[in-house]
Amino acid sequence: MKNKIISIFFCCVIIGPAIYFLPISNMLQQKEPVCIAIIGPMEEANGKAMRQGVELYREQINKQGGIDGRKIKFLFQDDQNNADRAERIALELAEENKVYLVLGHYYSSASLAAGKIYKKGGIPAISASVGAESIISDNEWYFRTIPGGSIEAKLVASYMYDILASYRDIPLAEIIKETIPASIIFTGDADGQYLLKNFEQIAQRFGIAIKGKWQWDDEKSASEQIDNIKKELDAIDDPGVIYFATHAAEGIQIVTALKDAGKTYPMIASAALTRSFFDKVKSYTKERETPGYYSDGMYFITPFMTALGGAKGFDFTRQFVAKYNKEPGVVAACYYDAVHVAVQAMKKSGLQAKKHIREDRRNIRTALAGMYNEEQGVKGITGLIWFDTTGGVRREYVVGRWRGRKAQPFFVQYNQHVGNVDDVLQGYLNGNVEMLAGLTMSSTHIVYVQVEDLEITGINKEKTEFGATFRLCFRYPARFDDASKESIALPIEFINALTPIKLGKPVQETTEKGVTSKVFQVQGRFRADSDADDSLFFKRDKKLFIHFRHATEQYDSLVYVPETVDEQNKWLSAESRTGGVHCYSDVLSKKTTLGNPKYFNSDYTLDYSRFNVEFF
Amino acid sequence: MKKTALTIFFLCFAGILTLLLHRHFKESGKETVYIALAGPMSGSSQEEGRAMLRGATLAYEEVKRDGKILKNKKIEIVPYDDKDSRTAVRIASDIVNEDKVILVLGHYSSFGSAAAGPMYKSNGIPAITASATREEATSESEWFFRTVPGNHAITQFAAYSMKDLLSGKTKTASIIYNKNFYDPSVVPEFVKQAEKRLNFSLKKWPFDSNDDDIKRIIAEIRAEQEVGPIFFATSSTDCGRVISGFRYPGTDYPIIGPDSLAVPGFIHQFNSSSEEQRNPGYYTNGIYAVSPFISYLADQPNARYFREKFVRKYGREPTWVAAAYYDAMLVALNALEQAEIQGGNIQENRRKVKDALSRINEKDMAVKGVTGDIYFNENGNVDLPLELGVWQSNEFIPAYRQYRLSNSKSSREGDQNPEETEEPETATSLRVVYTGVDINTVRNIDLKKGIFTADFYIWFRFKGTFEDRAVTFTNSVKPVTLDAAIMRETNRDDITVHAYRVVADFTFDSSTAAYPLDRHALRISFRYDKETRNTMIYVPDVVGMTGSVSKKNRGETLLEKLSGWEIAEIVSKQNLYSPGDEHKEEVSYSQIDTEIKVYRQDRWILSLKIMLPFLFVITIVYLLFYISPELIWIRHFIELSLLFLTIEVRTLYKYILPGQEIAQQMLFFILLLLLFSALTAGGSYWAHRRNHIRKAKCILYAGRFIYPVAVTAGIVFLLYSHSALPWSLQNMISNKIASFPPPCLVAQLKNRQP
Repeated sequence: MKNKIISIFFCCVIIGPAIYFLPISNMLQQKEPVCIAIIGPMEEANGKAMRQGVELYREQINKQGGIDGRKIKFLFQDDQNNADRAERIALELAEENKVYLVLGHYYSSASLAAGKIYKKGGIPAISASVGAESIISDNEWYFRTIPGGSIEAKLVASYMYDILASYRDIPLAEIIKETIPASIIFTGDADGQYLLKNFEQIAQRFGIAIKGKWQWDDEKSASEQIDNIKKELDAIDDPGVIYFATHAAEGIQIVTALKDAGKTYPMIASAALTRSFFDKVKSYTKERETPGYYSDGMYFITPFMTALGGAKGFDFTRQFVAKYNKEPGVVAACYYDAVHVAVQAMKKSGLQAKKHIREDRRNIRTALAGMYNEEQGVKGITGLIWFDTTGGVRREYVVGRWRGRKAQPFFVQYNQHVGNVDDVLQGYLNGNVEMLAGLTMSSTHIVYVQVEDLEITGINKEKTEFGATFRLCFRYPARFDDASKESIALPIEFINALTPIKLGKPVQETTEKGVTSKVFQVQGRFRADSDADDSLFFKRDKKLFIHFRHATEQYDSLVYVPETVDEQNKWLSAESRTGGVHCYSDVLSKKTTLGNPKYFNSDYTLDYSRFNVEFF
Repeated sequence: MKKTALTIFFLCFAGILTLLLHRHFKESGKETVYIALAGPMSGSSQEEGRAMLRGATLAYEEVKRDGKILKNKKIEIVPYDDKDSRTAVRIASDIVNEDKVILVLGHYSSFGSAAAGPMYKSNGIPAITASATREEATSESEWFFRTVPGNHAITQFAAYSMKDLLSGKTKTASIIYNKNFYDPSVVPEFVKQAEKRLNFSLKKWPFDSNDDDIKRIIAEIRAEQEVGPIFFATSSTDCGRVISGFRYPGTDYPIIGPDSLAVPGFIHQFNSSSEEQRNPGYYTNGIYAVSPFISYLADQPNARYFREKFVRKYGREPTWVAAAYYDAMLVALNALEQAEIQGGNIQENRRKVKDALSRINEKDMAVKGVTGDIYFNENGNVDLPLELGVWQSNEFIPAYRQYRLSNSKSSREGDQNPEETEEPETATSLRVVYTGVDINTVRNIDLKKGIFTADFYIWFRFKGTFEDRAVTFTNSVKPVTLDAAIMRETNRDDITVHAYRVVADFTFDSSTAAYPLDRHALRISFRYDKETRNTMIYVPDVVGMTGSVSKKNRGETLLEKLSGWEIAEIVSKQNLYSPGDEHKEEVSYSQIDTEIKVYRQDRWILSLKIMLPFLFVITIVYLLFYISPELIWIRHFIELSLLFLTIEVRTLYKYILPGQEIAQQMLFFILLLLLFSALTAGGSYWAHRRNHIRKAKCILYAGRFIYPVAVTAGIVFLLYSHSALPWSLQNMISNKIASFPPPCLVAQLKNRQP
């Protein structure tokens, strides 16, 4: 009898909590997941990057509860960048009638072939890698989240003055008055022609004389063509900046050949070339021996750079590094954004049950098309995404330069500016505003920062305060400064200073090639990091930080970028870093409305670029 | 023997119950007076019916708590569900037949009031409505009173305010009206007033409330080139039907409506639409309505008190219906007191109440309500100010400009003096400035000096021009001036937003008496010295700060965590600053107090540390119940040494702790426990000596049972009195107390209020 009671009691004790904790009720209620197909060259580096980008997003969104409680599921398909294969996969998807949306394909040819089937089957598709206009131009079911060739070519043309000015050490204000030379190498296919057309158009408007023009033909012998280009380049006494409006394969051949011949020209690479540059250049021995041999000094344009990706961009990079142990590439970032746009559209359209998948897809397409202006757009890590009438996006690229194989943003970046600026032309001359492809742009100033001779003078007993002296060096184009204040980088605000620190006159000031560097001596006492929460029983060694931000200029007008980046430790979490001083920049972002009804119920944030010095 | 134990238990419980129910028993001896409350308790307007009940209940509770009037009467509110005019008549006849109710509050709707009014008149039952604005309801019966302005006043106010809604050079305005909604004279009167003020004629769209007619109106409005601002003289359902017909992007006609659009029921009718769910406020954003009360303009002391009580009790801002019935109940209770009824004939008593009500007929007799000073004119109406509000994200907030019309026509007979209405009214206007504070960081909380450093954004939103930088921070250590704005923007409706960043030191009241359970309100106060409250009022921008009233700001958007402190809540409250003489109410200035309420992060560990010796004592005392009854001297000896130990610890704490309150309360509590222990010991010893062995045991058993209960109750009470319990528990207890307040607790709670 007693045994019976005891056994019953035990059963209750064990089974009760088991029922309670096992997610049986969850399993019963689990809603059907939303399936999205990801199609690309899944075995290649770019395909893997696509996969990593979207997987990272899926984890985040599913943790937040998915779309109205429905989780997201991916269906990965390998099209091997092959049009026939792509078409076959598309047909299968249309037949199965299971996926809500397609992300991909990576290549234009594959996209073009599959796009026809998506249009017929009514499947919305988003590509974040294809540059060609033809895939979206007469297909209302195909969208693209990276800017097309027209914006790229126009942006490159408008940067010619900046690049040449810094290359020749002439003030921009002077060079802007004269006609400058430029050259272009383009491919013979539709993409290349399109880039050329747009480049010529804007060059004419800006008074750029195109000195050299070479068409690359895949049919002809590569070495012959390269020799020809080399010869002709020699003949032109000043070819100006050379724009590589080519794909990666031929672009890399020309760049390396020119470098090997000992020629140095100012060069700028197209987005397509940039994306695969380091992947392709790996096979060259000189690059392996001296990293950066071919890349250093070259300009490039890209849709994503962490330093300019805003608070979300930094978060993305940090999480990406934590998950995959490497820095995210452009492809991963672009597809991360593409899936973000897709999910936002799905949320907006309000998905129904499984039986209505066709209608749901129509609604998703309508929702995507409904992101038709800046206000309806989605803010991603690569910028503000909204679709024009063709289904493409209009937004800026980031222009940078490689140094030690590292991407460094160019001193001026143009941002899509929501709102109106009246005198656009005057604005451009002042370096503030530019009109590009019907967009009003405002510019972001990049200031490079370096911390030298850091010395900790006194840490108090509780380790809550410390004193520090160091030299702070700012580097930026001399034209940023005007007479009204000491430096564009100032006034800065040391976020954790005990008492406000005022920087005096610069202790050192040099200007070289139109670039000023100003060095300031800083001395002050700082509060030790308060974020590291001490546990009850032991106190962790406190990390010491110095943070500063600009007192007034917001992130979209001024960004601090560290001059040298400590490669090894850059994106590791604070705990696992080792020794020494680390500098990095991020974004101080605060969600607020500032009382402006425009921002009510929106995700508006007030952002400032923050520079951090961290040491032990 | 078991019986004895049970008896003891029973006696103890009975004792406690008697003590607790003391008030209740006392009250049950009083004379009960019944007040009927007739409003929509079910159906589409049930929200309003509930608001009526809430307002009236709160008024009664406050009067009771105050204790000055109606000392020996118990009032019972009897709700009646009044859905339409037919039920109104049935309710009226029920009330007449039951012969129990002395006074009626209601009815909610004009039609209900008009239907029931004659019954009350013929049977001599006084009635007060605080929502039926149709003039005929009260003007035809001397038994019917109204505590809110009538339709004439409301439409006149709307006509006056309509000019502010015109954008640019628009030269059109319209009125959409249901032919039966108002008294026949109201619409023509409105049109006359509006045309006089606007200087052009209105477009008129009359309709009957059938579907075809509404469809026709919608089609006509869509076809019309220019409609301009529209006044809706309709019920909220009719208005909802018309609006959902033409409200889509591109048709943002300014809309203004009467009081019936100023209630939550108006916006709730759109809840089911998908646009509204995706985008709250899709249909209603920017719709203006005239209201007798907007809680964001209620910054007078009594109104602030009402708001605070209401929000605490019901968890929402009071609507005008709740406020109006709060006032109506106050008037009713005052009249009951004045009537001095004592039993006897109910007919006679009703007459006395009615006479008392009609004696409230001049300013000196006025009842001070939250909507204003209430006294009746010869029609049984009041002349109170009206306010203009606008819907924004489903919150009803004040418009940027508020008018006070004097020479109001509603106070007079409509057609007594026709030429006088031609006179231009004089109007004073009150500027509403929305202001918000968004905290970035709080640092350097110095309890010794009572100073903290705050880094925050502050913004002002206003219409037209306003010198927003002339603001005085009243508790800053050094004077704060607002430098360059981080945002300056003026939109096409002439609404300007200026936002600034402030980093400064502020003082706060830093009493650590309740250490470590001390809570502090880090306060940032500012006021506007250039204009008095009569012409300028600050309103906390709740929508801009948190998105809605119900959403608590717990400092999620702070850029850094506070070191050592946790944020309970950040709130911005209105206040009034009156320099000098308290009695001169004329000169007061609008002030906003933003409070960051914080408590210690490690308060539990610190409390445990402090309590440890006390808990030790409490445990030992409990073990004493297990000592045999005859060893009384050992027990007493231990009790005595524990007493000394406690006093010793208490004295020690005096020197090492910053706050003494907890230690003091623990000392008192332990004294009580020791006393209890000593008494049980004595009792059981006495029983033992008399050889009642079992009785002695029973006493000990009872002690063993009661003691832990008492300890738990004591500790819960201690934590409660320091607001340190988990929020839900804290709330539950305070609700229990609010509905049934033992006087000692109330006194203690009142002292807690900062």
